[in-house]
Order: sequence, then C-alpha cells, then structure tokens
Amino acid sequence: MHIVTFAFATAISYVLAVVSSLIFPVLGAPGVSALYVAAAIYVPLGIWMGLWGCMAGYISCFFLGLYPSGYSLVQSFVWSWADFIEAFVPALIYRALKADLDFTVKRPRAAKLLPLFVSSGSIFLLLGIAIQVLWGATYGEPFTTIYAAMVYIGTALAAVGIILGLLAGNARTWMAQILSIIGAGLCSGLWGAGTLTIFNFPPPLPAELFWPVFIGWVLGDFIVLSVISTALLVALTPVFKRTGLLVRGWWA
Amino acid sequence: MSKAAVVENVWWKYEGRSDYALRGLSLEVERGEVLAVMGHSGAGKTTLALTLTGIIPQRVPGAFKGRVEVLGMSTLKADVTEIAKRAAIVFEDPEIQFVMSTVEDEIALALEPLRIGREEMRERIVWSLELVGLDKSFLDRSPLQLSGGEKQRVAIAAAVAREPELLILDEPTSDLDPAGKEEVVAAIRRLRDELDTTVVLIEHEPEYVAEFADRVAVLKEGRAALDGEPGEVFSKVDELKGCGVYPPEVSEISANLGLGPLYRFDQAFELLKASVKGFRNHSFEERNSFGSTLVECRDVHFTYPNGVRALKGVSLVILSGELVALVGPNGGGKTTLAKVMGGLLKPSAGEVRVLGRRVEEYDRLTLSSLVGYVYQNPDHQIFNKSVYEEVAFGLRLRRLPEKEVRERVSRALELFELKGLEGEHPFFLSKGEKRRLALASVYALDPKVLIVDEPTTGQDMRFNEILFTALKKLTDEGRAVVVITHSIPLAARYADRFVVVKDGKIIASGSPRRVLTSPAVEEGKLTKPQVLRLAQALGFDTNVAPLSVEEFVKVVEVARA
Amino acid sequence: MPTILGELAGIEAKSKRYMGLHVLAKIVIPLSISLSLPFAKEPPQALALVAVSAAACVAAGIPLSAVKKYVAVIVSMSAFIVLAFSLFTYIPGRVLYEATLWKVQAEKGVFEWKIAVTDASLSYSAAFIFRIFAMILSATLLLASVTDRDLVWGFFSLRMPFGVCVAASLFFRGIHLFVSDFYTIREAMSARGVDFERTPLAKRFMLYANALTPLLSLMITRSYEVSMALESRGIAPGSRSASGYHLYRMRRSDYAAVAAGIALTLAFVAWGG
Repeated sequence: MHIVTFAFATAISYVLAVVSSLIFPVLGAPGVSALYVAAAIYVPLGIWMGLWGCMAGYISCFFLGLYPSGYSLVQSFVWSWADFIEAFVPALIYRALKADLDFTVKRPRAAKLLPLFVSSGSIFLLLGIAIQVLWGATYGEPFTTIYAAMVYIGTALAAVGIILGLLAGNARTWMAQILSIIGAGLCSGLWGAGTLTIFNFPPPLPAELFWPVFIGWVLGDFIVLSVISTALLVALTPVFKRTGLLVRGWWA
Repeated sequence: MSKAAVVENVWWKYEGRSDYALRGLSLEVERGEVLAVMGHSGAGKTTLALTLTGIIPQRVPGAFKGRVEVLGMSTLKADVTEIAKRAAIVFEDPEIQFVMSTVEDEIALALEPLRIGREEMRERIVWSLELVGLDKSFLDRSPLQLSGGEKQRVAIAAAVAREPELLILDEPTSDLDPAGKEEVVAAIRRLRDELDTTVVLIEHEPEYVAEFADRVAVLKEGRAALDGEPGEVFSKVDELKGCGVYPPEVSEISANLGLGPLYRFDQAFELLKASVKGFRNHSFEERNSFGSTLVECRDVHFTYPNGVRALKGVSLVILSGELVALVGPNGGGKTTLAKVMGGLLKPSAGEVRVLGRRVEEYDRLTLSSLVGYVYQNPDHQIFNKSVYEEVAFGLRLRRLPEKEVRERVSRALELFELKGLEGEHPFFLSKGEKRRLALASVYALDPKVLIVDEPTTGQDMRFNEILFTALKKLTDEGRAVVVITHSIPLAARYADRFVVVKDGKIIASGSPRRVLTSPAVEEGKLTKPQVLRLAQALGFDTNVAPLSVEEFVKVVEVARA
Repeated sequence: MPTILGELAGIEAKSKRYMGLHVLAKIVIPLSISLSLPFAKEPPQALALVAVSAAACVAAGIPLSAVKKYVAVIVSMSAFIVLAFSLFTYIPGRVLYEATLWKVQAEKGVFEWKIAVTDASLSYSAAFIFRIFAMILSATLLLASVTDRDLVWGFFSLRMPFGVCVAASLFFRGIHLFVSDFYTIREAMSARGVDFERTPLAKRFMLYANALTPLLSLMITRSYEVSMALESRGIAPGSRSASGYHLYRMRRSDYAAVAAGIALTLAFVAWGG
C-alpha cells in the first residue's frame, strides 16, 4: 500500500505544484512559488512515511521542472533534490528526536499563533543575515545595526513561537515541528536557489539572483509549512496511524 | 474436493476498530454454484470477499480467528499470490481496479502472475474481452475514456482472463447507471453460460440475485442470518427486511397474496394472470398542490469549456414542499442542471432565479444558505477532522454565535442519526455515515432547497429507504428537495415529480406514475419498478399503474373481491 | 495514446516517424540538448543550440507555437536576467546606460546601488535568454513525444519490479484523478459558502488546508482500494514480469537517433569547451 500511496501522493504534489507555480509565481524563477502548496503534501508525507514522502517530493518537482517551468532534463534532475531535502530534513528531525507524532492540540490559540511567530521570527533572522552577508561585512554601519536589530527581533519572535509550541500540545512533537519548518525551509532553499543560480548544468539563472530567489523560497516555505503542513499533520496523523500507513523507519 | 470454499467460525476485527466485522461467520460454497451474498451495508460482505482471497488476514492489519479454505488452500498458509492464481475478484468501483493506461495493458498485468507466454497472453486478452461483449477496438483505449458499464466489463475481463476456478463479484453493478448495469448483467449471463466457474455474487439488487443465484446467503452484522435456495430465502420477507435486505417485489407480492415461495417475474405472471388479467378500475391518490416557486430556470443553456453542450434550453420550476427526482441516462445533463440551479455553474444563456431574484445578484454565502448542494461522493465535501467540526464549518463561515452553532449542529446530527459521533474523525465513518454527515453539514445551513446528487449509489435498500424518508420529511417542513438518482423504483415511491433529462433537454416532467407509463421511459432508459412491469404484463389499464408492492396488492385484492 | 504534454497542455508531437522511435531514443535526444547547454556559453553557441532544438521539435511534428505556453516564463526570466546583470552586479564593458538608485555613506565607504547596462552584460543576458529557449524546447520535445505508456513499457522491458512499473502508471493516472478531485473539492467549498474570489489572500490560503484534507483522505482511500485490487491479482511489488509481453526492442532508426544525440553533445563540447 505504501507504493500506491507514494504514487498517488506524487501525483497530487505535482498537480498542486503546477497550480501553485501558476497562481503564486515568483517572477523570474519558474517553478518557484511564493506559496508552494505542494510542499504541504510531501513534507508531511515524509514525516508519516519516510523516504516515500521524500521521493514524492523529488519526482513531483522533477516533472514540475519539465512542465510548466521548461527546465531541461539535467537541470530538472539536479534542481529537484531541493524538494527531496525539504521532505527529508523534517523526516530526519522527527526520527532523530523520536517524536511521537502526537499532534493533539491542548491549547488551540497557541497552535494558531505558533506559525505566525515562528515564520516571522525566522524571516527576520534570515533577512538580517542576508543584509550582513551582502552589505554589512563590507560596508559596516548602518547595515550592521540593521542586522543586529533584525537578529534580536527575529530571535524574540522565534522564542515566543517556541514557547507557544511547547504550550500547544506534546512538547517533543511540536518542538520537532518547529525545527522541521525552519530546517526544511533553509536547507531546501539553499539547494533550490543554489541550483537555479549558481550550480547546475548550467544554471538557468545568473548567480546574482541567488539571494532574492533564496529569500523568496524560504519565506514561501515557512508560510506553507507552518500553516498548511501543520494543519494537515494535526488533521490526518490519526488517519495515517490507524490505516497502518505510518512508517517508523524510512521505508517500513 | 466438492467445496470451492469453506469459511468456518471466522472472527475478524480491522485494526483500530472496536467492533468485529465478522462474528463467527460460517459458510460453504459448493463447486460450480452461483452463491449470492446479500446484506445491509456493513454486514461484512466485502470483508467476506477479501477473506476468500486471503487478503484478509495476510495483507490487512487486524485480528483474525477461524478457518478459511479456498479451493483446498488455507488462507492462513497459502500466500495471496498463490490464491490469486486460482481465485479472482472484481470490486464494486471499476475505477480503482485500473492501474494501466490501456485496456490491453490492464488485462496483461492481470495475467502476469500466471507466468504464461506472450502468445497465450494475447489470446486470452482477446478472448476475455469478447466474453464480456467488447471487441478488439477496446485494446488501445484508455480505461478512463470508457463508460461505467464498459469499465466494469474490462475489470471482469481482467479477472476472467485468468480462468479462475472461483470468481467473486463484489457488487459489480452498484456504481453504474441502468444502461451500465444492463451491460454488466449481460456479461455475467455470458460468463454463466460459457464458463465452468464457481461464482460468489455480492449484490443488493434482488432481481439480479433472482436471475443468477443457485443459493442465497444473507449476512447480518458479520454472521450468516439466512442461507438457502432463492425461493426459500426470499419468502421470508420480514426476516429479510430485518437484515436490511429487500426481496424481489414479486416475492413480497406473493407473500402478501399467499401465492407461495416465488421469486421470479415469470412465476408471478403465471400465477396471477388467471385472476387479474386486464383489470381496469382503480385510481391512486396523488399529491398535486405545492407551495411557492423557489427555483426557476428559464431557457437555460450551458456549454463546458471543452465545447460539450450540456444543457440546451432547459426550463424548470421547483416548488416548495415537493420532492423532485432528476432522472435519465448518464451524460444527459442532470448534474449540470443541478449545479446551475445551485449557482455553482453559470449558464451560457438563459436565466436562473432563486426566490424570484437572479442568481447573479446573490453573494456566495447567501446563495449557499438558500440552495444547498450535496455531492455524490461525500469524500469531496468533508473538510474537517471531526464530525462536529464538519457540520459547524459552514455555520462558522457565516460567523454565527457559538451557541447557535452548537444548537444547529445538534439538530442536524439528530435528524441524520449521527448523535454520539461528534468527536469521530470523518475518515473512519462508514460510507452511509459519511453520506449522512454530508447531508447534515448542508442541512445545518437551513437551505430552502436541497439538491442531492445520487445519494443512493452503492447503498443498501434499508439505508436508501431511511434516506428518502428523511428527505421527504424535509419537504414536509416546506423545503424543496431535488434528488438525482438512478433508483427509479425507490424514487417512484417517494418523489412528487420525475423530471427526465436526456441530451441536455427535459423530455418529460410529471408525477412518477405519469412518467413511468409514458414513452419517456424508453427514451430516458429508466428502469421500471418490477410491480409496474408485472402490472403491464398482466394487461392492467394504463391508469392502473401501481408503483409499490402495497399498491399492487391493493389492486389485486380489489380485483379478486 | 496522448503524450504527457498532450494530456497536460494539448501539445503533441505529430510526426509518426518520430513517435515510432523507442522511448530511449526519445529521451536521449532532449537529454543531449540538455547536456550541450553548459557548453553554449556565448550568444552564437546558444543561438545555434536554439536552432538545433527548434529543428528537432519541427522534425518531431511539434508546432513551434507551443512555445506560446511558456511566454510568461520566458518574459519573466528574461527580465530578471537583464536585471541581474545590470542591477545586482556590474559586468565591465562599454557602458550604455548607468544610473544610481541608492547611495548611502556607510561606515567603511560609500555604498552605491546602481543600474549599469554594458555591452558585456547584454551579451551575457542574450546567452542566458537563448539558453532558456533551448531549455524550453528540449523539455517540450521530451514531454510532447513521450507517452506514459512508453515509460511504463520501458520499465517493463527493463524487467523493473512490478512496484516500479505500476507506480509509474499510477502517477500519471493519479494526475487526472486528482485534478478532477481538486476542482470538485473547490466547488464543494463554494457550495458551502466559500467565495474564493472575494476572500482575502490570507484567508484563502488558510482555506487551502481545508481543501487539502479531503484530497489526502481521498488519496488514502484510493490507495487502500487500489492496493487491495492489485493484491487480489497476485501482483507483488517486488516480483518482475516473466512473460516478455512488453517487448520493446530498439531498431536501426533508434540507434541512429541515439548516435545523433551523442554527436550533438560532443560537437558542442568541442565548440564551447
């Protein structure tokens, strides 16, 4: 049944990938969507079904690369690992932390506010780091002050998000979820934006576009993963558990 | 080895469920016979089918006790793949049985485990298609492009190509329209005549059972409640109904009139023709007055983006207090018409008015509160993680105070017998419960008009009766209910009006009695109730058209008197 | 049999000869264009690759107007590429246009953000933009000529396990099923009162969670049912076809097509490498 579920999940991911990239495009970077809803399918699937979910992410992205993004076979082959990574990182975090996948929500308000704080905190941190890397290191003030301010704000917001997560329900599960959102977004963004702009055979876009693509990618991921993925995990984890589809290892 | 299958004291519980699906079921299948298995939804019929293939307990997690032997193989010891070489099953939904892109590849895949040569595979593919009435031109076609009846016949061909010793047909006609049912029934007739195979036929339709079965087993709550020859089983009308099973209407007539244990149309005709042939005088009460106009369609046309003209100048009025059945062949435009009435599709030409105002003048929220739409597959419209949340969803969209939400949810759950399931995850509800949940979710919005798309497909007769009774109650409250259905005999007993839609036009509209005795029956490919066919065969006058067993019996009693 | 792009966008390769090629040949040709891309660094090389890709599409019977579907992609990428080379970096060359957008006196110097269009930046942009065309044409050639049946038969003929072959077929079937489901679910939400057009973007986004729940539920239900159907036929995921039914041999024309593809890549390696 896992193979069939994987095949169907890949199909759904592809359908949503196409829809997202057409409805919420990032101009200049085809296939990159400001709100990549497909991630809401294969990232939870990676958590529920291990490498099956990761492969669903890879294959759906591979076909998205071909159509409607128009990337060549080789470019698509390389680029699509971004979505594999996006599903793999959360799957790894949950398994490493031995989180129980108990998404019972004890405090609904905390669960609802959590995505806002985690996402915004992470974005502030990320933007701050980008500013420091691009300009602060070379030019110093006022960029370093902006960087520092954004780091403080981002850390504070993320800290509130973490506290909300611990209050929302099972601490280990929600902690894993917060770390997964951040880890998945950053790691997949690095590969995704990197292969589009810096390394690929050849990259479809110039290297100079790395930071705008990376930030757009990560921002979109944070929003989708913290809002939709989390909602789906809450709604459907009991179903995966009871149907026997849940995979504790990587394949079975 | 005279038994094709032996099921001995089998208990089975699906993982995660608290109740047993099979509770000490014992049953035997003789070689070469056609055993029909009937029962209410949830009685354990499909579970029995999966048990006979070894899928339960080998592939489905759960708790199993008992013994099952199929063609001499124990289902606990012989692997599913071994059993599958000799036993084949066709499921209710033809869609889920197709995994390949062409008919040829589909049947070839089914033959792969037999490890036969290429040439023999090719021969069997062509032979099996011909057996079910399809020719070679179907080989290259995509299963997705086929009609319901053709799809199910391909599924049967894929099973039969393996030349199984045991063939299990799990409600093969359930999901089909009357034309599709006829095609599949014709294919089953051919199989029966040409193959020497033991058949287990799981079926709700008593007429098909009457035609094919050598023996009938009736399941109730995971056990065999009745088992015997069709005449014997169908004569126990009350007991059958207690199991959620309805016998052929002629059996009920015979039980009422004391004609003895008969179950076939020809038997009833022979016995009754002497006493009631050509009887003329009787009239039936029909309700003619209804309330105000709720929905009006004026010369509505609709064309899909792919160019298909689904509606070609339809004009229709829906009145408060009436239950309207939209009937007709698949692809005729019934669902399109229903969606246009619900404001879900915008007509290409013409006008739709709800409570006197054009549909375009309403916002989505208001319109959906006036006209509720319930989809055929309830899975398409269940969006939440608990029954309560689901019913409350639409109410919360309207920002109603939580107290009112609670009250309306409670009322809806009560009406549709879902009380006690508030916290349950909708995924784990049975098909019937999901359908009731979908109805409850829409009912809670308090619509004036309720449109329900094929709610009876795949359900047992008892559920369908309960459903139609509930829908009829809604019309008593002054609402209008529009039901799209292929269950003509059932709809005939409850509907105030039949509207026959074919090729994008309304070809007939009137009381069920008037429509079912008009040429629209042939044109619209409607299935007449058995009692009406019997009455017509006996030469009853056209105005003496009983639509139910009760009406027929009344007519006969008056005739005899 | 419709091709993958035929089903998705109505674009099909119409040449019977090309469509009669083995799936391996139909994959190698666009792959070879793909592998030639890194070596098409200068505008003339990139333009030559575009010409070859276009010729391959024409030979396959794919109308070049198919590129119309990608207009938004081409325009947005082109615009961003030009911006990248003029706004986010400075490529030395003859300056054609220059303007300062933002100037800040920073601690360690003057930070200037300016737009600078040079002949070198235009040349780089041109090479990138031509490569995009080649990229799109190669992807179109692949998807407009390969059917899902080609891929599945290819897997069968390579004696891949049934699990792989069936999964590939189910992926393509699933696209149809779930597109239809997605639109039905959206419609069902409208029937309950959701007005997607008038709902603010943030709220609409939240509603996607509600839309995805039934989509995934349907996926699980279908997976269960399809799995039962496959099991009942004795199809074990790890076993392989023994019948040889899916004979899929390469012919001389297929070998010739593969050789042409390899030759193309080698030619570009020699030219641009």
